[in-house]
Amino acid sequence: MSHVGIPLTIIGGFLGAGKTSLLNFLLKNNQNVAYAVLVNEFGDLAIDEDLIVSHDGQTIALANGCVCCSLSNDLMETLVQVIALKPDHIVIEASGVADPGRLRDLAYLDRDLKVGGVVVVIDSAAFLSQLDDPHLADTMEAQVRSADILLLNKCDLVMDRSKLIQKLIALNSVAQIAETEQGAFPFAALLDLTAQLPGTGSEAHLHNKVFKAISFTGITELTPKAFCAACEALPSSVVRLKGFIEADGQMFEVQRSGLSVDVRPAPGCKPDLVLIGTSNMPSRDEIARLLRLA
Amino acid sequence: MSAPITIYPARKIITMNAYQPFATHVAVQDGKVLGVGSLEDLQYWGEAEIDERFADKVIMPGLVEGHSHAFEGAIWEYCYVGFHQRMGPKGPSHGGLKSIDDVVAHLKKEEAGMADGDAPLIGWGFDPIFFTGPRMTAADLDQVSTTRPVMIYHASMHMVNVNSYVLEKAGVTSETPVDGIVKDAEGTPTGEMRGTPAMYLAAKVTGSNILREAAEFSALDNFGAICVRTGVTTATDLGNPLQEEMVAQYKAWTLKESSPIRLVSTYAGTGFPAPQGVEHMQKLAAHQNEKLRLHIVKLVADGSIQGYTARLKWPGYRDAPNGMWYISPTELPGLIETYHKAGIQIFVHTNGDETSEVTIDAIEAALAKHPRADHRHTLQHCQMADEAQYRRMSALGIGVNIFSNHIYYWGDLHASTIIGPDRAKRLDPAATALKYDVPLAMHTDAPITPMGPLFVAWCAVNRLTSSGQVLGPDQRISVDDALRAITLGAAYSLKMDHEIGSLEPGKWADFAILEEDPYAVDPVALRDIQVWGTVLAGQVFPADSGQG
Repeated sequence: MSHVGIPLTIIGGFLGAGKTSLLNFLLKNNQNVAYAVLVNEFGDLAIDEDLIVSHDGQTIALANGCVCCSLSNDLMETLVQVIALKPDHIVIEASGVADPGRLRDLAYLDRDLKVGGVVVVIDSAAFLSQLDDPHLADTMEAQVRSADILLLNKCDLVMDRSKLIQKLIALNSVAQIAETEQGAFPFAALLDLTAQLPGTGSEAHLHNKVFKAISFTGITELTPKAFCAACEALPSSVVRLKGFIEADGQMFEVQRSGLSVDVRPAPGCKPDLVLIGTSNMPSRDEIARLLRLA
Repeated sequence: MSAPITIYPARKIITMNAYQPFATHVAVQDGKVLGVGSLEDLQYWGEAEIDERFADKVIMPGLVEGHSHAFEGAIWEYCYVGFHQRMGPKGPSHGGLKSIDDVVAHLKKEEAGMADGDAPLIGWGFDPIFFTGPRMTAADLDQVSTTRPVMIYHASMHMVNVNSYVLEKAGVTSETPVDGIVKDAEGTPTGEMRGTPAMYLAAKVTGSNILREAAEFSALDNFGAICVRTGVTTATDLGNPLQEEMVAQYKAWTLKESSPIRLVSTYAGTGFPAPQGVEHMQKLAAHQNEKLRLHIVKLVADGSIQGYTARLKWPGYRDAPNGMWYISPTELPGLIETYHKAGIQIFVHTNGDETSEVTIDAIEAALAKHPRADHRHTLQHCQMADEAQYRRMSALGIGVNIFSNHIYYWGDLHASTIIGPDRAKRLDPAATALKYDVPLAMHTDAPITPMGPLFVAWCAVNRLTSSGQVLGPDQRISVDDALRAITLGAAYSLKMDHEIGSLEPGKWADFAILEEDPYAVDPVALRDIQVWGTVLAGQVFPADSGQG
């Protein structure tokens, strides 16, 4: 893989919104990308002991090629060191009160980096009341305004999110909005949302503005050709499908954007498939049935 | 057999001890003050050697710098390009560089002495506030070199200027959409950077961590030498992760007899869970010695006023949105409560008045839940707190360590641009602190401003800005109060006032040896008093090792 321009993604969001859950999900479910994740502290990361290859206090190297770095030293210095490791992708967890937009700027300051988006995690249950705190309001609003993607977390706790979503759109009409719970949103899919998907931005079409994701291990009983056809037949509420599948005992990389599906051999990769769609996309079980996924 | 006694006669001895403020002789035994008074008073103790070397000097308690950083020692490895002469480890620097041409010429000379190759040339202390005419550009620094990185830190450390080589390597162009990259009328980056781009390019160019460099013996020796030259016998290193290797270095260095200071390094608790911090600090206790203390946690709650990152109450900044929390106001109470409950002393960096208010709230809440007498929690900088906040601090036993040097270095800018003339008058309000009996210390924040408590005292006494205006004349304090703040006041804030800060029987024989009497000189000359050197635990440290 070319290392010219490593994407730099910033994860922001207030304390308790679920930044660490998102990172835990990333580290646990990632198969094919060597992420370097810079976090404020290792304490809350739930890294499987079996995955740890080495741990020197400042850096944890994982079996899946990822590294986690502590920011207990200086952020800038740590970033310079991490770039030298040439990971596929760098993710910085901003502090809960930082404006993640300021960190996005780092991607412009080094030829070895490129912009990989700002994801701001929102605590769906607490955000609106936090906005009422006069000491916090400007900080929280700045975070939302800096986002390329707003990830609404803890959606299981709030059934009616229309007021929250309207508030977020009022603060930032450009950002894509995605929904999840417990931070369980496939990271690559999340980043895919930036500027590549149609967002109407109109309040009348909230269900077209808010995205969900469903992930699978990605082993299908179909032949590659049949899988391709099944993907093409998925309803338009599935706006994106990407990842790696195992079919006929072989590995393929698959991408569906709009109606066109591209399947190509990808030897050595591991199965890992993600679908992104609007809120009315078919259920996980239904998609598993259509694509014959295990 | 008891240890020998040395009696030092002096032109004047300032004791800072209330029952005998002045004396002519001080007796030292075992590194401690045996007594002060007249020669006759001290003869009570029997046979003593009379050491006349300070007979024409003024002795005062060793000065206590309650808020500095040990990287003041490391930074002298780089090239000083400041406007003012500054005290360095080997004595005063060059007389100050008064124009961009001066800075360029000085850097050129430095560059000529460097080996070939692309090792960076790094300067510091640049302060264009004092220049008239156009700002420095990359073209200026290109005169120094086009084949190696050239970067100079501004005095605040939050801004840098770089040469074209650095811009080119970073890929910074007119297209780079980043706040903080200063651009000219045509949109071309000038080479001046603020905030994030400054910090990142600095890390990229230096490739180093100044905190770790600061723990090298050579840097600590520099730090100690600067302290000796400014009369400081106890200095602080405020906010350090205090990881194992660093503590080992500090421990080994302070145990050397040739190390001329007591060092208080505070644990940097920002960004880490308090329970782990408490546990870490409990382990640190075992590494302390008579010259090394590690008993205080420092939390940084906001940024700086001149960087527009301090959190202000209404009406805020005229030209910028409110600043940044470094610790969430929702998180601060829990952090404070956990350290407070564990019996640990807490320093909180609070520059803006919204931050001081939130911090006072948090300490009040912690005290309500876990009453604790004599906690000595102290607000650091606390530059904008109003009288109501000082009244609450007084009621709650909260101390203050204010950044009086801001009045001189940034006072004009605060009044004209950042916060306006009204609030600038109450910047670093030493008189208010004294009025409400809030324990008062004052500091330099070296290397942000030069090490030198007598200069700090001068600032608090005169409140003169660099343009010569008096900023808030009603907040001026007396020489006596100012000298107390840089000795006993700072010692109190470190909970070391039973050991240092005044000359009384049983306390350490830590002295600042001055050439002039600060009570006798014109108060505007306070900053010009020459320091001969120091004494630490009875050991004499001349500033220039030809004397003494």
